[in-house]
Amino acid sequence: MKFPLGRRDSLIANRTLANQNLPSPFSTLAELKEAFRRQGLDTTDLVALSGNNKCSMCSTMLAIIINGKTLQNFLYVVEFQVLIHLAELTVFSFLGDCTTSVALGDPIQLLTLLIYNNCAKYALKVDLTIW
Amino acid sequence: MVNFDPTTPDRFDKNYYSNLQVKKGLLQSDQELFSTPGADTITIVNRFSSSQNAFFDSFAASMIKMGNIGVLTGKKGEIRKQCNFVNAKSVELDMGTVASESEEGMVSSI
Repeated sequence: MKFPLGRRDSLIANRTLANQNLPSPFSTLAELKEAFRRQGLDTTDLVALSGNNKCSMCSTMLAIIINGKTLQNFLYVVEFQVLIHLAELTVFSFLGDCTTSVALGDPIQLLTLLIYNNCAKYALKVDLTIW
Repeated sequence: MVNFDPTTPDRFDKNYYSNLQVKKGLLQSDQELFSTPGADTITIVNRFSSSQNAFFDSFAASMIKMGNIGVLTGKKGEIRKQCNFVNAKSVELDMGTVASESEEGMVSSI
């Protein structure tokens, strides 16, 4: 019995096309749906396939250092509002280019951008006394 | 490390959806699925959150659909020696070789 091997990789690499077709971490629901629809995937596909996201960037390092102690998974350690307050005060001067397009006051956007841009390789230094 | 699922990061399960229900989606594009007012995705998130079997069934079906998008077979595609370079580039960079592949894009099973 023979069966098709299935997918092979493309002979070319096309950055522009990849960026056109891949949804961004900032995509609205309408944009996500449209990106999936263009590939023939419906709303249920969008929700089902998103459930596998959790392993896609597991290796991204993101640490917050509070008074010399490193916390992992800090998103869930501190409240968003506290975090953005800290972020405005400290992260922006710290990470330079990594945060240039982040809207102040939106913690989810900030964290999304940090993770997406691999800015997480930088540690966020936070002075506990601020909060 | 940052995990997209803060509760069971090392397991493939329905917790991604229950996290969305408590506003703990990591990326904005994740939380959109549950927090967009009136969205039809909310009921799907709720369904997957309440039934792992429902999620697994849909996930399997959707993976098969996604796997069939723009399939390249035979000489229209290649198996990359380095997944982040086309092979022509890998040769330039002297990335070494991998096991040979069947020309027909077919393989014999047992």
